[in-house]
Amino acid sequence: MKELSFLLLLIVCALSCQEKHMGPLPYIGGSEIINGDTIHFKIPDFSFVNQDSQVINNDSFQDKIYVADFFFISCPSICPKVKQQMLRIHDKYLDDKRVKLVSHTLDPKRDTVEALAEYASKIGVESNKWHFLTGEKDDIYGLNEQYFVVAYEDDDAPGGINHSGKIILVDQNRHVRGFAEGTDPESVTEFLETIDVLLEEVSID
Amino acid sequence: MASFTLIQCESQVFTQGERLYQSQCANCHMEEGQGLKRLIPPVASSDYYVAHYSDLVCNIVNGMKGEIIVNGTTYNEEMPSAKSMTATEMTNLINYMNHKWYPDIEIVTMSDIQDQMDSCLDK
Repeated sequence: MKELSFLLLLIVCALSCQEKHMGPLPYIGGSEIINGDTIHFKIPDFSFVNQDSQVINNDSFQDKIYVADFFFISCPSICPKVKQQMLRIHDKYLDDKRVKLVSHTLDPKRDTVEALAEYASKIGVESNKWHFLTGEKDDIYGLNEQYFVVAYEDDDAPGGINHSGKIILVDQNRHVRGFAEGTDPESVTEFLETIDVLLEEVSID
Repeated sequence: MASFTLIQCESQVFTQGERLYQSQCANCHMEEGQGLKRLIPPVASSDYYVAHYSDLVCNIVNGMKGEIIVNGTTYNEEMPSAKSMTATEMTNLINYMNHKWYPDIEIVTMSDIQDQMDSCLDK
């Protein structure tokens, strides 16, 4: 019986070793060594309001991983396509409580809580799964840099705001572990695999 | 003259039209014209497209505001105007969309389109 278990163990190991060994995901944003410890870049403290007027801050994502993007409702260029791709992520992990989605508006003046609620409802998503956040303009513009997403006001840009369609993956310790180009379906397909890898790597329920 | 031009370009009509669709329309209506949930209506297999076909040119030129119902779903998002589109571009775009999604609709000529565009005042 012991020999059989050992044999089974060998077979299982052999089979799993044939899969692509992805290894731990990178920590994006740089790392420092302080007193011998490696400190990875972390998303700083934030506090915003979601489409249900709930205050959402870092604590809201305790023991969760999340994906984040930046958009605005009247965006005529990349935003609908990025939302279409975010929906793929949303739908895949709909029933997985460990995964959340966050969209920050870059137009807090026009994208009020009510407008965001309507938008989220039209996309067909619930706020406890996918937060649409607004807040102080200064807080949002600045945070995007922490997420490595370019965003700035530009009269010549479509909709008046120039911004990238990147989707960022953040782990339960506020570290950035991956990103996708939200306008590119293939990039998001790879990103879905990255999310799976992260979920296996982290031990959260 | 216009029809002669059309015949000359016929083999290219759908390529131009497709390029226009992808660069001007697909950002919102998506690559296959499917739209996005209850946010953006489809242009493919759309009962509204067919029912309001005579308004299509002006809707594109002027943009659209207010509630519409497409295939039973209510939409209420602003569609930006495409005032800078030329008659050639409009002809190619509409011929592409019809070819792709409404093959029963006959090819439109540039003179048809020009006439319609001339009549589109700010409504």
